[in-house]
Formats: sequence, structure tokens, C-alpha cells
Amino acid sequence: MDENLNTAKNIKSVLIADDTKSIQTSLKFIVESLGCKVWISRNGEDAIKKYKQHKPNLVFMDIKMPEVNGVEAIKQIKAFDKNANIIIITAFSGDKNFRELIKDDPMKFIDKPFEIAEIKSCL
Amino acid sequence: MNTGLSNKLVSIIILTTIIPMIIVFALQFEAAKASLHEEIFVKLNVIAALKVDTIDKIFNELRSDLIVSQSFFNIKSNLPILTKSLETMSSEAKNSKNMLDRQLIEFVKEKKPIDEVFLLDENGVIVYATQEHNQSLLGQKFYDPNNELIDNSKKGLFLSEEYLDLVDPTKIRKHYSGPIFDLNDNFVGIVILDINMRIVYDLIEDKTGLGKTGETLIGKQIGDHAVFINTLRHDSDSAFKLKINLQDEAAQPIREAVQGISSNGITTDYRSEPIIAVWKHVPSTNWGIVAKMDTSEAFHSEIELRNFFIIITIITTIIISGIGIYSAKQISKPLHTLRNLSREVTQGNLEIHADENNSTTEVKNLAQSFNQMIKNLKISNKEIGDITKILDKFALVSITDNTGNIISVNEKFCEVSKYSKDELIGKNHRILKSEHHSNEFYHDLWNTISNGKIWEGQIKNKSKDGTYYWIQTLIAPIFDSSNNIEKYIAIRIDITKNKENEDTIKSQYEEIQKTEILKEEFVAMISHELKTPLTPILMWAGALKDEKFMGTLNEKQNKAAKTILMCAKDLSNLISDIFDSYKLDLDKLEFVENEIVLNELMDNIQEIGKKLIGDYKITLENTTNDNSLIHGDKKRIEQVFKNLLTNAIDFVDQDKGKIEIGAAIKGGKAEFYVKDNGIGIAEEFRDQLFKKFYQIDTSATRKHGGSGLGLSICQGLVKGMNGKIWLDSAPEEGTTAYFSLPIVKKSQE
Repeated sequence: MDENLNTAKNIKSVLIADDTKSIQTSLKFIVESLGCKVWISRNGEDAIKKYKQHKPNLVFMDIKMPEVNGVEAIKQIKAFDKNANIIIITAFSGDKNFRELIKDDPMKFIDKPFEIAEIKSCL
Repeated sequence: MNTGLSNKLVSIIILTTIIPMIIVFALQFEAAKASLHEEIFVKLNVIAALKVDTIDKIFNELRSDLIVSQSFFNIKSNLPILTKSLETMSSEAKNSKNMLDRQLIEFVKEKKPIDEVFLLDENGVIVYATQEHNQSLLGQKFYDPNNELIDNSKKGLFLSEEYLDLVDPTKIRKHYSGPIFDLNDNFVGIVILDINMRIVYDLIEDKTGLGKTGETLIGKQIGDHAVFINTLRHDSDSAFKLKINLQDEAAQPIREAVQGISSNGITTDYRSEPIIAVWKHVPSTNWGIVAKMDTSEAFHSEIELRNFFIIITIITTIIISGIGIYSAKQISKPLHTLRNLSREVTQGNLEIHADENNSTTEVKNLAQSFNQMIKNLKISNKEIGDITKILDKFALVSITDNTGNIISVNEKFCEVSKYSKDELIGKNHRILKSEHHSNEFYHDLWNTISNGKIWEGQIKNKSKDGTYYWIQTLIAPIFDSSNNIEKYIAIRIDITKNKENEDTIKSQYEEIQKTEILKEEFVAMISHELKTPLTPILMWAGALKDEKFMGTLNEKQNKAAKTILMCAKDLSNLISDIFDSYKLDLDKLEFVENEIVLNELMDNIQEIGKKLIGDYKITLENTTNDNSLIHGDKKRIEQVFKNLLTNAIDFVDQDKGKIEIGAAIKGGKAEFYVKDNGIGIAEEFRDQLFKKFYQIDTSATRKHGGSGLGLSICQGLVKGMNGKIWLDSAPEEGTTAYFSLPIVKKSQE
């Protein structure tokens, strides 16, 4: 277990986009505890808006969300900022559609459920 | 057939018997003819030669007689006396005459060819004759039409030309004459031997051996002509009158003979008749002699022979032809009968029987074969009938002409189409057409069958009452003898019910597929919904356990937090395993291809392994030293390793445990392994291990909750990537799990 709470990758701000309240709060607690500023979005549209607004160093993006889903949100964020640092958090990582999505784009993703260590390694 | 066979047999018989016979006859005839000719030539030659000899003999004797008479003393002494006293007839003269009479009358009597002896004085006046009737000629000049006698006779022996007697024109005269010298060798007169030409002519005109038309004739050359000097058999007035110009073509024998040529041949005579002749020259008289015969007579036997041959040939031909025709009829009669029977068969009558009691084996066999054929035909007919009956029960059968107009249909056809036979026959098949199929469909159908091929397929047709029916159809063209399509036969089976069933099954299948999709979505949702709440559990339990987040817990609280964390992790793994296992069973697991560098992959896996080991003092070594680029599904390979590592961790001692991982290219494949120094697996369990939910009791070393799905999933994943997985193990020494994967892109495999 890494004893150092400071982020290794110099991540200062994080946007968490997930429609599940319990994930929002638990993940926000962990990331904030690790010293980052955190914004929360409960859908894709809001995530795009908040990204454009705050330009966070990192986005944790769920795929299955109401209204604008994660895939569409990633597309628009990448269109706005091609260097956007996005990590997908999903329970569908074995799903065919998802794997096709990430095949040509070496985007990182973390399978739900994940552990604190995995979050730490992203920061 | 009957006459044809007879003609053939008769022709064969004629060819094989009559023609050779005719050839033999012809050869025989030619040989006979040649010998016949030869025989006639020999005969004519003998006759001619004999006559020439006789004539020569006569004239040679005459010559001798003349010479003898010249030397007579009597003549030498008395001729001058008679010359002197011719008018007065002195006693001396009478005496001389008497002396001459005594000798010469006897001389003439003795010599048959001599008619008379004349003595002439120096001037040619007759002074003596032996015969009484010639006494009146005394004192007259000797008659000499050619006026040559006196002069020639003074010179020596002289044979006069022939001439006709002045008093008797039928008499031909000729003399031999010569000079008379007295005892002092003074020329005193001439002696003439008057030749009896009758003897010569009798000889010439003798027709012995010359048949009815043959003759011998003599002639001599006078100027440019050959003149006949005897009376001819076929021309009684010919002597000295019939002349043949030597330049002429006709009468070759006499023309050549008077010119001194001796020969023979088949030619023409003075009448221009065909003759066979031998001709010769008579040296003593300078005549030509011809012995000849008309060919019509000479070759009479030849013609008879020829006629005989012809008659024999005709008779033989008639007999042989008769036998041939009879035999041919004997042979062809049963064939004729069989032909008539065959005609009946073609008209459909099979209730016939050929008579097998024929003495000719071949005909008997033919009849037996014919009867066997009828028998087989009956059997075939019955079979066809039976098949047709069965066919009619379940199939729609129709026959159309080559334009599709219906010629015949069976009951079943009417039953299904609901048309009556009368309504269908003569109509085009189009009346059954539904609007279901495209024009191309019918075009293809017609294209196939009109090209002489069989069309097979399913057609939807419209019946009379407007309902539709489906038929499995086979349409085959039927060809006439010149290989043109004459008709089409169509056999159809009503498959309307099958089609309905098919539709039902199709909709049921679609239903099932929909359900399957729903089920998959449901399972995916369940998995998602189970994993989602696990995320905050892991977060909060992790935060509780780590004092950096929520401060220090007491020992009991810490243990509880740890337990929650461990159980949540196990539950998370279990959910993943069940979901993967479910997808593997359905063959629904998808694989992608990434470009992977072996070293990087294995470094990453080592990191994953370290996390799995967590706080245990188990060493994990990575032996990989290979920078090869392979194509594979990175996440799935990691997943296999994760399962194998989890198992290895469970098998090894928590303090002394050693795990080694590695990867290398071997034999064109990537070979991976996970080696542990754990308790090992007995051989009997190794195959079982890959079964679902199979678990070896590892209670002593177990560090994780297990579903028993791990190796089964590994096997499923490796197989899904076209690879192989196997175990190598020795109890108490450890286990090595291997798997190998193809390294090239699937499209290049």
C-alpha cells in the first residue's frame, strides 16, 4: 500500500461522471482524500459542460448514463480537448460494443468494482 | 425384311456358286475353242498340202512324159515324112502314121492326164493326132488364143496358160509342148501333150473333209488381179470370170496365195463371208490354192458348245436361285412372324407368345429371347403401373407440350388445383400462376428446362377458388428421337402444410432469438447491477481499513473492515467468472486483436500478480526476455494469467511460496507459463480441473474464495483464441500451467 497520499502524476483536479450516487460519494471521498479537487456529473451532458468549464486534469467516466451516455461524452470532450485525460469506469468491460470502442483508442479503463489501489495508480 | 433377307441370301449364293461356275465354264470354253481352231487349221492344212503335192506330181510327170516323147525315134523319123506329104498322104506317109499310131495311141491310153498327143510342123500346122475325132484337124493351124505356143515351144519345154475350149466352153484346156529334133538334130516340129484338166479339176474340186461349205480353189495372178480358174462351190460361173483386185481387202487367202504367200487364218473370202482358211502356192503351175471352210460350219461345234454352256448355266442358276429363295424363305418365315409379333407389341399387345418349336437353333433362341423380352416388358409395365399408382396418390403429375400447354394431368393435380381435367387440358400452365414469384423466377425456370435441364424448386400456385398452394416441383424435359424437346413432365408434391409449418417454425425461432437477446441483456444487466453497488462497498471498506483515510480503527473494527473488503472482492470475482462462463457457454465471448510486445505484456502481468499476492510473502518472478510483437487479445490474456496466478497463489505456502511467470515464442506460437512450488496436482485430477466448479482441497494454503470456474474459464478463453492449455505437475514439487496462442493476425492464419 502506497503510504504517500500525494498524487504521483501531478493530478490536481478530477471530474467524476457516474449516475450512481453511492459511487459518486465514495469515489469523491477517496479522490479528495488523495488531495484532488473533485467535480461530479450525473450524466454525459453535464460532464461535457463541467469539463469545458473546469478543464480537470482527469475524468473518471462511466459509460451507462442517462441522456448523453459516456461514449458520446468522451467523443465531445475529445473533440473539445484532444489531450483530455479520461479513464473509463465500467461494469461492461467484457461487452463487445465497449471493447470495439476502445480497440483503436488506447484509453485506459478500470473495471467496476475497483479498489482504492487502482484509483491511486491513476492519480 | 422377308424379301430383303431372301435377296441377300440369293445374291450370296449366286456370288459364291454361279459366278465361279461361269468363270470355269468360260475358261473351259476358251480352251475348247482354241483346240477346235487348231484342229480345223491342221485339217485344212493337210488337205491343201495334199492337193499341192498331187498337182505338182501330175505336172512333173507330164513334164517327164513330154521329155520322153521328144526322144521317141518314131517321132524324130516320121514327123518330117508327115510334114512333107500332108496333102497327098503318100504310102510312105501312111506308113509313118501307122508307125506313130502304134506307139502313141498306146502312150495316150497309158497316161491318164494326157488326152492327146499333137505333132505340129515347123509352122504350127497339125500333122498328127492320135484320136479319131481329131483327124479333121490335120492340116489346120493349132488353136492358140494367147499366140505364144509356137514361139515358146521352139525354144524349149513350155506349159501353156489355161483357156476355154473353142468348141466346148465348159472344157478348160492346157498343154505341155516342146520342140522335136530329127536324127540330125534339126528342128522339125513341135510335140504337144494336151492335158486332161478334168483330172486336176476333179482333184481340186474334191470336197472330201470340207463339210457343207468348205472347198478348195485355185487361182492365178493375171496383171493386177487374182483370177479364179476353177468353178467355185458358191459361184458356178466363176472360172476365168471372177477376178479379185490385189489391192482389195476381200479374199485375202487367194490374193496372198497367187502372190506366192503361204499362210492361214480366219478371214473373209470372195463372198465377204467369214471363213477359216489355209492357202499355199503351187510351184509347178504358179497357182495359188486355198482350202477353206465357212466359220459358221467350222465353228458349229464351238457354238453348240457355247450354247450348251449357256443352257447349263441358266439351268444351274435357276435351280440354285430356287434353292436360295426357298432356304431364305425358310429362314425368314419365323423372322417375319416375329416381326408381326413385334408390331403387335409396339401397339401395346403384350398377350402374345412366339413359337419356340423351330428346328433352327438360332431362330429358336430368338423366339426364346423374344418371349423373355415380352415377359420382362410385362414385369416392367407392371412396375411402372405400380409406381404410377403410388405416384398418383401423393404427387401432382402433369405433362405439357414444349410450349407449356397441358396435355395430361392426374387426379391429385385436379384435387389440389381444384380444376377439372377438362378445364386444364389444352390450357397453358400459366393459369395456375400466382403473383408470388418474380418474372425472373419464371424466366429462370423456362431457361433451365428449355435448355434440356431439370428444374427443381418450390412454387406457389393459385387454385381455381383463389386459394394458394405450395408445391415442391421437378420439371424434366422429354426428348423426341431427334433430340428436340417434345414435352415436359412435371412431378409436384403439395407442401402447403410444410410451408405453413415452416412459417410457424420461423416465427417461433425469431421469438426464441428475441428471448435469447433479452436473456443476454438481462444477464448483462444483472452483472452490471451487482457490480455497481460493490464499487462503493470496496471504496468504503478500503477507506475504513486504511487509517490514512478515516483514522485508526480498533482491532475488531479493522478485522471487520478487512473481511468486508475481502468478501466484496471475492464476490466481484465470482460475478465476473459467472458472467464470463455463461458467455463462453453461449460462444458469445468476443475477442479483439491488439499488437502486443511480449516483455511489456509480462511486466504488466507481473504487476497484476503482485497486487493479487498483496501482503503475502510470496515471490513472483518474471523470466520473460522477448521483445517479439504478437497479435492477441491483451485483456483476455491478462484474464487467463489472473486466474492462473490466483490458483498458484492458493497452492503455495504463504511464506515460502515462489511463483514464476514467463513467455516466449516457440514453434511459431507464443507459449506462456505460470510455475509454482505448491502442493502439486496428482495426475488423476488434472483433466478434471478444467471442469466447471471442480475444486481441489487447498484448505491448507487457500487465500481466496474460489468459484471453481477459474480453469474452466481459462480453457474457454484459450480455445476462443485458438490456443491450447495444459498442466504439468508433480505432487509436492509444484505445478506449471502452460498455454500457447497463435501470434499472427487471424486473417493471416
